[in-house]
Amino acid sequence: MVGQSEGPTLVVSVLRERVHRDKAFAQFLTDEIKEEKKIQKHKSLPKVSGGWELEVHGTEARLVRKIAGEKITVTFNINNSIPPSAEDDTQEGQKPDEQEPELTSTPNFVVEVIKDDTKQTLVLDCHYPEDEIGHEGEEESDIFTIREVSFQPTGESDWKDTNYTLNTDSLDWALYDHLMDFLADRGVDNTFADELIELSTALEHQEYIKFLEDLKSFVKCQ
Amino acid sequence: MSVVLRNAQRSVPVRRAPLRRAVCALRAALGASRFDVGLVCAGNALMQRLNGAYRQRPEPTDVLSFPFHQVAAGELPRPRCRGEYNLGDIFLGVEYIHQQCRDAGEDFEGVLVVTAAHGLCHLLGYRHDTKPAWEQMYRKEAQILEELNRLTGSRLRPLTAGLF
Repeated sequence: MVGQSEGPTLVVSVLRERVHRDKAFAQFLTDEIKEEKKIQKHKSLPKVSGGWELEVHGTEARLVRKIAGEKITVTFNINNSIPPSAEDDTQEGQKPDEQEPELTSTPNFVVEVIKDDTKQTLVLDCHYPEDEIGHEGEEESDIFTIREVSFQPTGESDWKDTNYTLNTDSLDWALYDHLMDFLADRGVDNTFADELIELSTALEHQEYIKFLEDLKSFVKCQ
Repeated sequence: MSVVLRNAQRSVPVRRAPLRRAVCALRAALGASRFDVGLVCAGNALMQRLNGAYRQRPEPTDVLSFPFHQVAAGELPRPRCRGEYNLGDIFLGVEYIHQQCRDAGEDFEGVLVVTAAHGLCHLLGYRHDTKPAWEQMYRKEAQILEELNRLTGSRLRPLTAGLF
């Protein structure tokens, strides 16, 4: 019957094609990993000045600092931290011999301030403005903004969404400035925000390379 | 109306709340509280770029003012609609000012406020390119700083003392 004698041959042919493509993919990844390591700016994660201790768990990083009766933590995740416009710029209209512009990671970050004698943690959700970072020359806006502020019970991992959350979109600007000064007094200022970008970008690149290596192992595995 | 404050630089720590308070008080002393004003704390790179673009002097400076209205010194703008309640923008070269203060042993935060006062006066048409214009501007700066001093207990003096 038609197709009966072709069955096993077809399967072998398809399998051979897949193996061939996987090999090509693995070779592509080998080259890609080599290139990424060549352009890697930081072989180890850069330090953030001001006495911050760094903890890294996969894609999540936490900076911790203790000052006079307070503990300040800054947490961010490098997943989805590269703005889409930055990624688009590297793909469209690029000549082959042109060096790709640097991709910068600008993650949202959460600042938690815990005072020794209270059961509440002040939580401030901070963002980098979109389309402002990474462009040539100094821009004219704040380096980072506070988006939301709330109190959460200290030591509890679950977010309590019945606690009031202050959104700064329509906040009195004098109050907003006090909040920014409050953060600056605890080491979360423009310099810190800049250094956090460096750290996040380095971590993101590191994780990307690790992902490529894992992908290559996975593709080669039979 | 609003004072829109932005800190666009990383070189110098700037405390926003006291600067805002001072600028609001100075604006009130000028009789211009119902007008918005923009205030950007800028580093040397931005000041150099703006100074080069708008004054053909590509070097850092302490203050640049961009008035929204063209008015004669001492007059308040006459807005025709809600959107014109705007004095304009002041760029404070905080990095430049900080370096000047370090060199001269002056109080940075005080000089910042005095510079902001100078910038506000420029937004309202005051100039210092001739002696009479400078005298008029100096008197106004002294007046509004005196009002601020009365409120805060500070002892601030105009920026352009001794210009002529």
